[in-house]
Amino acid sequence: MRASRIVPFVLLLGAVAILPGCWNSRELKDLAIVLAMGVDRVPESGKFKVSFQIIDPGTVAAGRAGGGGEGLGVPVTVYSGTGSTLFEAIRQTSEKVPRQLFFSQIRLILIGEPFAREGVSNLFDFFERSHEVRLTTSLLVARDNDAETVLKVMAPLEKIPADAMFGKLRTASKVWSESLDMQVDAVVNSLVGPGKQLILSGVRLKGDPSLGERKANVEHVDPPALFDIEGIGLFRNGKLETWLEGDTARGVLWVDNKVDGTVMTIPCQNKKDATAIEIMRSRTKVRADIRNGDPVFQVTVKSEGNINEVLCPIDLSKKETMVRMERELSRQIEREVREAVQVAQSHASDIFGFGDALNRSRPKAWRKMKNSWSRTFAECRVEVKAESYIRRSGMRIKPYTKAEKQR
Amino acid sequence: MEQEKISAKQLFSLIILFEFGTSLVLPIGFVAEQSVWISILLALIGGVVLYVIFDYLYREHPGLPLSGYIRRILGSVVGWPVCLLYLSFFIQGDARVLRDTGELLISSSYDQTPLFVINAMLMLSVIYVLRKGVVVLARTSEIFLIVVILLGALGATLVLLSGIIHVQNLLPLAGNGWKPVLTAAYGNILPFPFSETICFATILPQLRKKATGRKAGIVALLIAGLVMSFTHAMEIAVLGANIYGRSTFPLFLTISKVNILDFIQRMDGIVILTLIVNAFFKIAIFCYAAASVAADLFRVSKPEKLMLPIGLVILLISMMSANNWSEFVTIGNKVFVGMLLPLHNIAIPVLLLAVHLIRKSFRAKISR
Repeated sequence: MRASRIVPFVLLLGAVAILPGCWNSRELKDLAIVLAMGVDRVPESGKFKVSFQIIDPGTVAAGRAGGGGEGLGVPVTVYSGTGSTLFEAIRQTSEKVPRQLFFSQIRLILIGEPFAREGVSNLFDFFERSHEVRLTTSLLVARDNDAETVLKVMAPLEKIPADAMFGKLRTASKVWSESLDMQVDAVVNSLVGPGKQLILSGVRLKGDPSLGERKANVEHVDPPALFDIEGIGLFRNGKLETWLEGDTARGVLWVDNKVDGTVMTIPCQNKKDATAIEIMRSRTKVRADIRNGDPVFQVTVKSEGNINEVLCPIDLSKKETMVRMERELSRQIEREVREAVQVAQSHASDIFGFGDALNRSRPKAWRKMKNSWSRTFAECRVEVKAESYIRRSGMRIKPYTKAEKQR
Repeated sequence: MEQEKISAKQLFSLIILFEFGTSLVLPIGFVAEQSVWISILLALIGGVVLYVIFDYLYREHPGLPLSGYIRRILGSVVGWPVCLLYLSFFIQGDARVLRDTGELLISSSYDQTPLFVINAMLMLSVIYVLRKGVVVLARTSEIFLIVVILLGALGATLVLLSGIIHVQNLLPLAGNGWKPVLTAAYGNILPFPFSETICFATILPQLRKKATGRKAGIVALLIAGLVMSFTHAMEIAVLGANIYGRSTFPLFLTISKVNILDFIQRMDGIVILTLIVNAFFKIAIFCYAAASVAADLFRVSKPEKLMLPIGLVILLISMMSANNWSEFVTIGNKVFVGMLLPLHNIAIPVLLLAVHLIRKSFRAKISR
């Protein structure tokens, strides 16, 4: 009686050992967690050079790092290696790292500008094939620099530079909308067909990179080395062609329907840039059509915002004032979109995915045009229309500034 | 076994889990590109028709499994070799499902585990359950259907909430004309997975009430088809037709894109669990079909007695059938979906139906 109970019990205990299924268990202490990865090309040999920002768990562990006490090292280390393929480069780096590289937590992939200009078309196979790297990893281009240098810079506020860079990218695309968070799958989808070209945000290193490597960098109120998210890189067939800055970059985001929130300045009476309007919501529709055998695209931007600052005496209580400002705002948006379209057309690079839009609405016409799409795109007609609504003007109606001369 | 029988509800859940099998997670019929979901709906019609044929043949020969009525319709001289063909087909088919599952698990998460270990674990648990009888399997399926529904609902909700669905990825509808959509539907998706319901020709005799099989089966197929169509449409809407068509495991990628507030993310476990549960039932039902045909042919009293040998054969074949994934997929598309499935699941059953109807009409004339 008793034995018949003990035997199953022992068997069950044995099963516990097998059931977790850890064939190749890797303990946390054996892993080097990669948070950001940089990719460059060695100019002489043409090999890939990868660099990894690896977290040092000891220094970021809660409680200890808070004081930033003496004797603790920097929170991250950067290792790099070279190889003819990315995977070889990664394995070559492993020789230098005391732990096994682990990619599941990777947040950012940084591409050096020289490499981006040579072309990144076949860079992404490894990221797609690997089951550790996630499709949610974001990509950035290191402007005027190789990726490794930028990865080595320490940043204030966040302990881990990769987190700082990612946070900046995210905030910038949310409240400023001149940069965009492109993830691996979106990048691959803009490399596979003629209907969409790649765009990537840039990160620029300012100041002295050699000072940025030290922990002392973050001990300054105004750190000697900093990185900013800046500009949108326009690619053509996988090669970086040019950078779109400021308003033009925002133009791209308007077309892409990616503007989450931004600040627009419009003239007020005769003063230039004297009213700040915060865009709260916006929605863009792109309609593709064929007219007389030629593709025509209609970009309609609808946006909604509030007045946040007025630098001139104008009566916001009047409906006509608001209507005038709405018209002004629409004109500004239309101008930004047109600028972006113009730059894209001058580089014959369909970064807006107009080709894909055409394929969706007129698949038969698209099949005829897709082989010479970049040429057709460069000459196609783009009609831009913005509709803006200004809803409210904050806690005051009229500004306190008095009119200098009465109208 | 004789006293315990399967209820209509249990048949319903068995069919749903069987249809989900691996076809929920694999990319199927991608000649249709972004219109795969339409192809699935089109193929569903054919799938229901086939099921009605299987059900009709069973009703005409109550109590007889597939191998029983094949021999009654064709006579034992022709029927016996045909049944042998089915035995090898079921074994082959099961080996493929097993291999598919193992490969998917390895390439997505168990990267260092040997294939044999994963396949053996799956097969051993299948053998264990089947030795207890198909009724036990049916009862298990009732419980696991709820698990799968919950997992599916959770997964779909997370994908919807994280705002990664881009409906424009599904356009244009049938961009290259309707021909690829139909080719995908009837050249690819009807054979795999819909025509595989032929396995149920061996399970239908275990039904408690003969008449309930048709309705339960059709409803199950419709639900499975709709869910499958929705799932594949969702995968394409998230990934785009290009990545969907090139990936080995699109549902896994879709779920890995989920990120809600940087907090709910890395939900891959949902997909892995769904895959294992669904694949378990598909492997078990194929295995039961093989054992049932074998038991009938070689006059073994109960198919349960054959589970261990047949299961082991399936395990070994799953390991031997191909040297690598590419070879496996090539054989799968050319030989299996191209020839074996249409032959066993469409051509022979339709032939059986025709012969049966002709003989029946002759009998009716003679008796008149």
